[in-house]
Amino acid sequence: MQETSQQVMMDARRRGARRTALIMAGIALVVFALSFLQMVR
Amino acid sequence: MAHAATHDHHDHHGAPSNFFVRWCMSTNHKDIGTLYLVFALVMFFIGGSFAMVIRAELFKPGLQLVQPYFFNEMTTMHALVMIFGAVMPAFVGLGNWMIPLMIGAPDMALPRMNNLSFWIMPFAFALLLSTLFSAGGAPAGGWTMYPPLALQGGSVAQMVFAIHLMGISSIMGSINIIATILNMRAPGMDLLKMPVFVWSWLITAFLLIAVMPVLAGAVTMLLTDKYFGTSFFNAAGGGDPVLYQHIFWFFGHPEVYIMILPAFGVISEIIPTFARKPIFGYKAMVFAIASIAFLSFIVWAHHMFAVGLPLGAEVFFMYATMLIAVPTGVKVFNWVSTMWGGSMTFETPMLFAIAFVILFTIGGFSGLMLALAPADFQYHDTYFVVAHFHYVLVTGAVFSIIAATYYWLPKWTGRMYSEFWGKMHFWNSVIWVNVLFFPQHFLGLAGMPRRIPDYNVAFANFNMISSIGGFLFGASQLIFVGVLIHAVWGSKKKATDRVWEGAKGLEWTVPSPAPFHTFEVPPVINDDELAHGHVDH
Repeated sequence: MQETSQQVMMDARRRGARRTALIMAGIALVVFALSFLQMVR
Repeated sequence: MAHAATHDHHDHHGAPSNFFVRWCMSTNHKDIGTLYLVFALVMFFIGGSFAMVIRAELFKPGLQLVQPYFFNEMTTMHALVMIFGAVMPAFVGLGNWMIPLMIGAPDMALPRMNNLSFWIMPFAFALLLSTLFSAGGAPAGGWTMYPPLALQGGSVAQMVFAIHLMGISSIMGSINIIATILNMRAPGMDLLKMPVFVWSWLITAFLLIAVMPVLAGAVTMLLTDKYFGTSFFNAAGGGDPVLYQHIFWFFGHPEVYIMILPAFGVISEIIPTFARKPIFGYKAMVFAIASIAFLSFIVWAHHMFAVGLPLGAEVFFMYATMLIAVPTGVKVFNWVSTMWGGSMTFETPMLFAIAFVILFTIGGFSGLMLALAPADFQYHDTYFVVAHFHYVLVTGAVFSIIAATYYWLPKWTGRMYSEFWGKMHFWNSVIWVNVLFFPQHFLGLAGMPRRIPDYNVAFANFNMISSIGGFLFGASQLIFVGVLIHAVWGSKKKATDRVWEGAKGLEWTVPSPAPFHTFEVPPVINDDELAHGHVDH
């Protein structure tokens, strides 16, 4: 039972981790686009 | 403290026995941390061998050993290898190993991406180093890659692609660290209870995500200028070479803090342990790191004082740069205050940490001198700059990496290193590094330019002293390798779980060596046992 509850908690954390990772990757892409496109304009 | 009730029953699913599976396909934060650290050590010696070529050529005036173009390749490659191949991966390795242990997480949040982050690096550096054997030669325009100079040399495409790969690796590593720290902390490990090392990496990871894409943008424009007929930085086509310098240093200045903030974190772990006192001013330390990170974004043009900036810009960047001395001073005073009245002992990690505080501060002071825009017109592009950034990067970043290795090595290997040889390594390093870099201040003040293979005979004596220091500092690092090999394979002295009498924090509650899997059941956090004591007095 304890293992199961731990597993649920870990899954929840991992889902949060994926969301955090996607947000961070998005920020990195926007920064790249800004630094590149600003020069192209 | 927390009880890591994790270990005995997990031994049956330890590390894979197949070498290839274990090391090439690893998703374990400890193994990937080890890979990063070994990679960084190899790169440290490759980059160091380039430095030996530079110091050998500069041993006396005149051209004697290498062709000028090869000398320029050496200065460029030394910097690229040391910055992107040695210092940054070493800190990522330390972060990989220690962050999950320090916050009570079973692993990094995204273990497979962690594997990919590491395995990009050897290919990136194989590509970069292969240019030394290519027909066009290696990049030779300096690590800053200023156009048009950098575009005139060989291997621009390989250099740009290698930098893209390193950038992708760094960004993925940073994403992983942020996701781990924000989502994987054990219950009760609030943000303001985290060890300073974890805080320093969290802030560094945000810096990396903010600036590595800017470098990627800049070098992509270099690539298109070179091969696709664009004129971003080509004045003849309506572009502006100074624009490149702005973009590069918008990355480049935060980059130097990327290399020093985790060092601050390491030192903030080691000094309380060996002073047997909680860190003085925990919150101030965290906010100081955050302040330095913020300020790092608004000081970039202090690298460009001599390029012809408007007076208002020179004044702004001068004062903004000098402002960084305030949070940095907070940190130095807090380290000293932590030691004040402590029951200090001087094991090897503590010796390196104390040397860090003193010598990094010297590098900080020469940085303040360089921040003065009028004075910088004299210092710009001289050996004074070389002396300055080697004090902050070698006696700063590299010393902290060495200190961290000695500090956590018994936890990693389960065996104590040789304290005698550790101290031999320390005293040789600290003496010869000063013989190597201190005379370069005098050379710079006397006007010796950087990045030249030949020089006026007036500079001969200090160059010879500096080269002797360089050879002996380089040789001293072989002691480090010997100590590491002995600690991993030869040492008979077992490490205890806590290892150091004054050590506090979750990482010391797991056995030594740290089992393959830790904290599969989250630990219970006891505030009294945190390295910085009670946060809310």
